[in-house]
Amino acid sequence: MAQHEEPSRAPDDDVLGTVSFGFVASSNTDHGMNLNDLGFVFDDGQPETGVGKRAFEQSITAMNQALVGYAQVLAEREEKPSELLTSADTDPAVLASSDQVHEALLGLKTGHLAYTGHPFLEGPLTRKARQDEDPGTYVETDGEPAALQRAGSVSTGPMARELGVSVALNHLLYSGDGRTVRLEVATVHSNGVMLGIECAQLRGERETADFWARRSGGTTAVEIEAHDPLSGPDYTFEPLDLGAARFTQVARHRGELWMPGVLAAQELSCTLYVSYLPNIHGDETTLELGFDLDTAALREATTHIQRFDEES
Amino acid sequence: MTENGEDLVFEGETFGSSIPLAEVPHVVAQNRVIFESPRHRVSLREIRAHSHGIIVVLDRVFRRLPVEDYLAYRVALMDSYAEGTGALLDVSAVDASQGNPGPVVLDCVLGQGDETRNASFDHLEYWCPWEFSTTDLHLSLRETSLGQHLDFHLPAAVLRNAQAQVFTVDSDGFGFPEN
Repeated sequence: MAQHEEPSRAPDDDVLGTVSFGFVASSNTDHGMNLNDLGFVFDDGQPETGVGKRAFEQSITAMNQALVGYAQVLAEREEKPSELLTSADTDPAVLASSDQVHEALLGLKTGHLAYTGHPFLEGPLTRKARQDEDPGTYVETDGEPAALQRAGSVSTGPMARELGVSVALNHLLYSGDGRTVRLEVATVHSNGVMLGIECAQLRGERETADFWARRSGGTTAVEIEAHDPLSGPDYTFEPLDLGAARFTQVARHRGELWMPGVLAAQELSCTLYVSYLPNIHGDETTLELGFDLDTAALREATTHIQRFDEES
Repeated sequence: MTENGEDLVFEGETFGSSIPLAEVPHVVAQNRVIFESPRHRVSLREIRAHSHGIIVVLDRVFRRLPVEDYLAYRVALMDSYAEGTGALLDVSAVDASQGNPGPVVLDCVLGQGDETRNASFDHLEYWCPWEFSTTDLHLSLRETSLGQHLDFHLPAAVLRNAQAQVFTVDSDGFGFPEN
């Protein structure tokens, strides 16, 4: 392999801009702010009142401005103001100013939670969606999908409006009998941690193509149980089927498992169960692997979370 | 993500042929914001070091402006994609006296997009197939709607140290078939 200073690839201006690539846009109404999980993480479980007070005061100002703006828009349409508030209204100006009120309300709730340690509102703060809504448009959702809320399910993902912070783990949990399991990286969000897991199968030198295809062709699943040995709570998370990239000699199974609420733990002892990852002999014995997550380091990372609706 | 909830992944054609598969990469978190504007945010999330190359992981956010009409935002988003989805160049090797031919376009090996009502998120991975010794890696993100080249660099010491910690998985004696 060429050294960095001596690239083996010739320059070609024609190549510029022709890199094969694609993006996918989606209209997934399930994504949105999760008010049930809004919160800050505090040392020793106590709110930091200085930060919280400032956030609360700023949110009040923002709410006042948003309401004034909304009132101005309504005043411009004051001929039939009551009709503007019905579900049939789709005036972009009304929706935009209404969005600002929603944003401010979210900020108010977050600020209150930071200041007092307790929420002052429960449930979603969602504009009632039209029944005949065009599937090509989006609905602002503040929380989890309605079905999940009714079922009392826990958070299904990170906050939609923030970029998580990567914390490298590089933790090899298992290596042997033609398999490896490792924790690659933890992506920290304000309401939980996305844990990157990679399981690999290595083809044996006497393994036939058919045997290898059968051994590597399944869907590997992972599940994690965790508990805080100091404060006691147990955590359970949704199992995850890993996506696979299969090659001649190696099959890599990767995925990210969502661990909501674990930032509150003082310590986190975890057990990772890996199923359907046959070893060199074709045996599918489930791996049971223990590891600890440094929640203090993960909490520290939350101070660097990027929210796209904040001024930098 | 599709309407059926399935993730769509586009992989470069060279993926699997140039990235070493029989080793476990070493991840180095970066979390660096390298460009910020009301509309855009580009950040370097992490690098994933292999024995003879690294994967550069970028996040890009295209945001709806605070008072922007939703349809106008969607039009702007589509226009930004039309302007370019991004090409990452290694501009380190530009010294003609060393026989280097010039900037090298890196392969984009993964691009994933997701979207909420108020922003579009792109996750981008580029393969940089070098072994690092003493020269920093200078990169330039081009062919985007940012209106400018986005230059940043990675210190050679960080890259060299990361490559030294790559774990080779065939060391446990199983080996691989010849073909």
